[in-house]
Amino acid sequence: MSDTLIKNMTLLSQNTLNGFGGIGEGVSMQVTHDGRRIIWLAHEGAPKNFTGVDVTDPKNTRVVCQTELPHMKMRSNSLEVCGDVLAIAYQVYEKGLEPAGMELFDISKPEEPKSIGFHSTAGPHSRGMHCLWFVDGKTVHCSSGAPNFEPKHPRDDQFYQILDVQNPSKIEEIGRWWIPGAKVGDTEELPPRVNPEEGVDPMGSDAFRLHNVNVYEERPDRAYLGYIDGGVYILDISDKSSPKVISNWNPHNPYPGFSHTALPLFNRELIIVSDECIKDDGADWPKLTWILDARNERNLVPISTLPLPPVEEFGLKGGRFGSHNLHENRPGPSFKSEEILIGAFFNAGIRVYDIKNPYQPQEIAHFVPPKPTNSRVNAIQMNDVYADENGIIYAVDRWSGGLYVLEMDI
Amino acid sequence: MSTPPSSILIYGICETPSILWNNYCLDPTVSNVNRQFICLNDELSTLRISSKGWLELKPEQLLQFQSNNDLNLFTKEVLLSRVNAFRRPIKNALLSYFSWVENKCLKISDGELSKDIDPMFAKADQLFFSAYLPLPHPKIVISDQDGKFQGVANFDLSFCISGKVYLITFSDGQFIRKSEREFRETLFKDDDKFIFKDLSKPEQNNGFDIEFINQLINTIPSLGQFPQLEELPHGIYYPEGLNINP
Repeated sequence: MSDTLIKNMTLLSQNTLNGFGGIGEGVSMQVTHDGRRIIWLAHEGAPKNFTGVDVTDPKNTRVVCQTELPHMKMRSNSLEVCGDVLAIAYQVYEKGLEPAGMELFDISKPEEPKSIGFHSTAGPHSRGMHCLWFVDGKTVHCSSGAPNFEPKHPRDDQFYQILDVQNPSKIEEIGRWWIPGAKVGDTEELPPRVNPEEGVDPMGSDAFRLHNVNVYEERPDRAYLGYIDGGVYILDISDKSSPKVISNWNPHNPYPGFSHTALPLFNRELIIVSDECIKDDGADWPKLTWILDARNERNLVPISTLPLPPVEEFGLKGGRFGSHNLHENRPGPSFKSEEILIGAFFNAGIRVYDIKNPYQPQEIAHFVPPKPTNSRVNAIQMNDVYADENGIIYAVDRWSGGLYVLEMDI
Repeated sequence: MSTPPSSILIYGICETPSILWNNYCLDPTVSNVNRQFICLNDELSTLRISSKGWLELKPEQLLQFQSNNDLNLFTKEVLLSRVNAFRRPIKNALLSYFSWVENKCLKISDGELSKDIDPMFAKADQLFFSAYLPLPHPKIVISDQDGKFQGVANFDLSFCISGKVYLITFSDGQFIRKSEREFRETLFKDDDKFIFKDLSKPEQNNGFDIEFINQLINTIPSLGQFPQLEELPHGIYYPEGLNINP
């Protein structure tokens, strides 16, 4: 890998997942009863659904399970593992198609995942589920359309839903919230759209819909939402049947949209907000990761952004360039830090930052491999990242590179 | 530089500790205790809220205070202002510590505790000054044999009592960087002056986390013995020109 850019990291292994190395935004770890470590990956698109990789020996990983989607007009994109249960999101490419929603699997035997529950969110105006958060074994927080939700704009179809999954055979929606004005019948007006595109293609860039929602045991009464062009919302979910807005912070516009993840750092009283780059060749540069002063959760104040490598070097390198997913400090066998941030930055690879001084974040490590074989773009596209409690990083390419296992030396 | 000076313990908010270290190396005769750091030399013994140096109170400042309670409040505010805005557990630790000290002072004042204390100096608002000085964000400079700055070992809270330096962290199970681990190893190697303990992070709990205080006392058993002085107690004001040792 002579073209690899690497600093304070070691590549332990790469696994191209039997030739299906395009991975979406679902990377989660299971420690099995017999002590194995399995990293579960949601694919970017059909035909594969999810793949389990035994990473017990991070230098010698092997695929132990790879499943198929029912048809080619859908994708799984997002998953989470909690104990021996895997929750996976299903999103379809055309509204009304099925299956759309979420499926639960018993993965106590990783080689033989067994479906134990399904929750449909299919409907005439729904693409199903895009992202989910499942860390307590009881509740799934997700971004999804619903059969009884008609958005005013077709790209505003996915909103916040809370699902009780304690009985996998009878999954129940127990709460929902959307940005006021998004649903047909709402009297409120939505804010002006950010860089609006013509047409009704649901894949268009401007949207007032939910991307990620994060809820942590430290503050079970708070949900942190990346609401794409709506910015960041903090919701009070002490009554899950009736979420209430605590605050909203939105840099779009003038910034180019697509708030993705809002990661709270509770001891620091900071929130890290990543936007998602969604256009190739730097067309939507700069896609930033923001550090917000959240000491007053009702008045979020941006104090810095994570430094990105030069746009001159990466903007036209191929594919997307800029922020996307972050390691999210989730419970379980997971790296926990409120001073070290790990992020996936598409063609700028995996980057690690020290935010001890949040006014002056510093990049301390990075890994940018060359274009993977068979990629549809001319560069790596690091799409998501997970780090375990030992500081081993699991990073995934969007198109063909599969899983990269890295060790930090920081 | 011939002989490097002894190390220093920087406290409070400090983004670039090398600046303080380099200044100190240029003038190692600076006060052992000052508003930015403590010299970790053989003279270091015990630091109390009443110790000279960490708080340079001017006569004109003194005029604004009506009572000892005003001075107590002032010292607490000064110490809290030394806590980084994005380190809530350290602020919680100080608040809990102050609450505990004040409560203990009241009990002594009311005669519920030690009878050995001279009643003349047993008023709660006076006893407060004798409490051990909590130092937020202690950073101990690591230098090479030529005195060149190498880095700092970072902690969350510190007390200096009877020649020992107690160093507390609230890591909450979080990752510690390699450089930090190495600096700590260097510090603790061959030096029993430092006593390190990682405690559960203090919670807000309306300003008093009893579990944290119990952990702290288990780590520093002498913490509660602050009213027992071998000399006359002192307040926080040291008139300039008078040779009064802390």
